[in-house]
Amino acid sequence: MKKKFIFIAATIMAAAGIAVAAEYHYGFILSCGKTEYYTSTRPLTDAELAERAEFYENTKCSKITADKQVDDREDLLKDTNHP
Amino acid sequence: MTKPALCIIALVAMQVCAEAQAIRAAYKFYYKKDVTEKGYYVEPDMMLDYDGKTAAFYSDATYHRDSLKSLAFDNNGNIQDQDAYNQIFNYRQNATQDITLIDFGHRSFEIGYHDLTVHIIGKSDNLEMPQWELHDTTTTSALGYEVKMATADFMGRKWIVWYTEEIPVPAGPWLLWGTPGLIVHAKDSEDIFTFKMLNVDMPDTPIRYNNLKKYFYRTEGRWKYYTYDLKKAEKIHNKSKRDYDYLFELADAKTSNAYFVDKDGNVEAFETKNPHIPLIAEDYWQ
Repeated sequence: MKKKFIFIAATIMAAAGIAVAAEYHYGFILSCGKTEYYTSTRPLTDAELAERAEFYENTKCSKITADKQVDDREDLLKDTNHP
Repeated sequence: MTKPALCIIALVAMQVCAEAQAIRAAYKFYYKKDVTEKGYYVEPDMMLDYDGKTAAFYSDATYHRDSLKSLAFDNNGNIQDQDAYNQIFNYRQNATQDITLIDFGHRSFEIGYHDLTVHIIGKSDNLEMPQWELHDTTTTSALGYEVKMATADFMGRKWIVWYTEEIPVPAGPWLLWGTPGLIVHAKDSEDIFTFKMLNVDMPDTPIRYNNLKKYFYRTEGRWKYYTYDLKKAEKIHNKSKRDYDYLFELADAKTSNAYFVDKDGNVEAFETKNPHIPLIAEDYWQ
């Protein structure tokens, strides 16, 4: 099934005194129903965004997706002790 | 009661290597990130490609995703092929991106770790075969092969493997090789890791070793490459797995204010410290 994620990117120019700082805000909608937000000090490329999405999927959704989870249902003791 | 017999197969194994039929075997890889965890994480599609000269161990989903990424992005990391980009998401997203490549002819190997845009590559010109102790214990595997047991202390762990002489290639998952037949099952004595073969095939197409190697050494764009000897690579990789702030530093992509929001609007901080257990035991390096 085709999974999609959405990039939400916005640039906020914040003025503080005479200094101007650029912040890049990103949001990833993950397959496990969570959205991850973060701020970067530079714009990320499309490839970096794709890698980020993969990274957050792996770190945040790995325990509850169907094909990669802490699998208590499988009879692993029998499974690991028998070839 | 098993009767251990010393394995005298180094030369025999290398001879078999030179004459072997190319195979592709699929394994399920179970692992823990913390010894206190009751269950296991699962990589369901790990592939072993072996042709007698080289071996590669990698995730099939990652192989396809990486192939599409090569087409989808230009050297600056921007999308150049929207169709290829869209197809990336047809493959499992949370597959491991780590690979193991063995060059039997040069007696060398490398382990590649990939997270974010960071590639950490550990190289060794000292390919060691586990010193297998062959046992008389035999049984029939779930796939119907007659299998025999072998054990070895290797890279800081005690490994128990089952191999079948019905497929007479001295290959196996990860760096486990050198038995008189294909390894169909392997586990460590602490029950942290298990490799279980799902099926084996004899591919008509060339094995993917060269493609994997080429992809892992791309140098364009914002990819970050860190190539070291194996010991240093392991140290850096283990640190990056346990401390994501360090990983972001390696990626030259620091972030701040990272947090998650679930469907109900609950906010959860992004935890940068995580457990991790490497296949090569850290005691091995001491």
